[in-house]
Amino acid sequence: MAIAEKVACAPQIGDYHIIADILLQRCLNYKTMRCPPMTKRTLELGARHSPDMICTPFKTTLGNFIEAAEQGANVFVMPGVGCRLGFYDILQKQILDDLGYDCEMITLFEYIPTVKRLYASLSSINPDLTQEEFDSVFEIVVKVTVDMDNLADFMRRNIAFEVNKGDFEQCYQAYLQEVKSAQDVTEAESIGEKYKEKMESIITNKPGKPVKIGIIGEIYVVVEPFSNCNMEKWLAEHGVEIIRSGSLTQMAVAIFTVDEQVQNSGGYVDYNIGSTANDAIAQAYQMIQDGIDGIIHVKPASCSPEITAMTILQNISQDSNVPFMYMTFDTETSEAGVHTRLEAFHDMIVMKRRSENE
Amino acid sequence: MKIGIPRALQYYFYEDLWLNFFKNIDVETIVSPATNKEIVKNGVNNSIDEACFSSKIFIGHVEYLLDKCDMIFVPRIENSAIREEYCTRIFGLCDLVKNTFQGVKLLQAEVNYLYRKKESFAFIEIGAALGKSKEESLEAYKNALSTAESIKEIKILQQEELLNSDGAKVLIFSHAYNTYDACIGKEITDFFAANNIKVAYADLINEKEAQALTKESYGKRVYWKVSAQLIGGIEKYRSQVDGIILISTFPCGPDSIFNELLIRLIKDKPILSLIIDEQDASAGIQTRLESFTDIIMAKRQSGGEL
Repeated sequence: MAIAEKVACAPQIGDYHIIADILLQRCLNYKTMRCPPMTKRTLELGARHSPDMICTPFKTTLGNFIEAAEQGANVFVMPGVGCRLGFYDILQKQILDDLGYDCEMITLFEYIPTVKRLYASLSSINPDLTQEEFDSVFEIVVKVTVDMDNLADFMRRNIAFEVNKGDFEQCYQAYLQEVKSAQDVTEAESIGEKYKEKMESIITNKPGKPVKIGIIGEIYVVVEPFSNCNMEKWLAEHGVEIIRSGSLTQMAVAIFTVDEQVQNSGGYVDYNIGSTANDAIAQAYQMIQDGIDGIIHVKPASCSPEITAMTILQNISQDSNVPFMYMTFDTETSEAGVHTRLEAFHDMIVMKRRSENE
Repeated sequence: MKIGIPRALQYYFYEDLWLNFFKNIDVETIVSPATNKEIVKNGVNNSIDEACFSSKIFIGHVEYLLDKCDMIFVPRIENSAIREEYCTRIFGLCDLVKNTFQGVKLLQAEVNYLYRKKESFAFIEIGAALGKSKEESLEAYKNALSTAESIKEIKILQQEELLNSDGAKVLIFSHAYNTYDACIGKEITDFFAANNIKVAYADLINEKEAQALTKESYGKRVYWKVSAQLIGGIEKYRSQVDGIILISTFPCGPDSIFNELLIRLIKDKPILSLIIDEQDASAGIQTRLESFTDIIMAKRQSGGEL
């Protein structure tokens, strides 16, 4: 029997497929493909074959892999690291095996994510990958991640006020399209700068004091628009300046700065409470100091660190008189339900502001 | 000075160590009673509804102790060796209790290997907070530790004896705080005792041996301390029992991964997976236990075939 050609695939995580494309295409000797865009079917497939109690990203990423496997992918890439994510690989591999897909699972990191470990994982698959080659790809990856997070951050703060609808999104997508083929870090940087200027010159009519809503919580649901029912899009359409805490750049920093986060939490926490939950608390505390109107805390169903964080956030909310809304997303969440809650939260903030002004 | 100890979560891992330590330094303690309906109710009322049932029970025990002692003992134990950590619910307990009952007086200390905070240092810290000298605390800790270790060794030996004896046996795969809790596992173990089926526990195993067995079967180190120990227990004991019972509380992070893996990997033994939450449904559990017992008994009589 002929050995099937190896086709590698990473799960869908918002726009970060660009990063996966750059890293995998240039570092592996396999063909790579993007998993099919997430739909209701992805969620259904994932949920059907996953254990009930598992956190939602397991189900959605499993759905991604099953759909990709149907189209010929047979090497699946997961980041690994801690919390439950560190064990996704063994269970997902077992489930895919039981479903009859002949596949391989690559875990990029183990427990503590380091660049050294990333190189070791990739070069164990592609022995031809030299340290120099990897370093130059990794430089591009870091640059692109930081640039795209900065651009997206700027976009979120201003997209609600653009004069020509669609300008920001178009500019951002054009950036992603162009930077994908950057050959070295200098090129990536100049592309980034070009689009930064372009984005800053987009005409907006931002009012003096727009409604500002912060988004904090578990990183996957924060950055994956399909998984959070396009929350940001709804808020932008309703004239809200969005301040989002949660991006790949921020998470990479957050993992190593838990002690600082504990110190910047206004005395509400003494210790690391797991995953990036301390970052959520520290960011919420900072947003309140900077004058936010309301904060939305999002998490996938059964995410234990964020459930611990909720108890603490409730106290912060009460003491600071800033409204918080807690949203849990699972494979059954409907967009209409989410939008109704967003609408109520938005209305409440507008009314609160009005009564405070009088 | 009276120290309150909640009979929940970590208590079940460290019962002998803690109680002997406080006895050795001559400090009075009060341990909350076995979980009852009142404790469950208070725990549920004071928790976020999405929290796991075991942590709700913990909050109920803390609530019980609030007006019965001067300080409540809630240490923060993250990891005791590299890549041996507890679940985030457990290492977030200190902050959870502090934010649930504002103003509560806690006796706290941190065990965190990555920060070079060893267990012995934590006990010195606790001793210092109670006015004991470093030498006194260290002595008390060492004695308590050796008592606790010998108690565990005896339990492991007794279990091995039980496994070598005749008769039907089941193996319980569940976190100690569920297995031995009056409102979670006790009902299940009582059922087997009443039906003359011997009960073995996957957590009664030497920790190092368990880690090695776990790494062997999964090809990578399992960094959740309790899960690693339980999986090692399953690997070691499963050939000697007739069936395996998985008990989880809803929603459990580590169990959501490993219970599913075990069900998929173990094909040679009947497995019953029970998930317990605050909805009291003992009739449903009884029915499932009865039918599971029927299966293992039928299998025994037919010599392994069904």
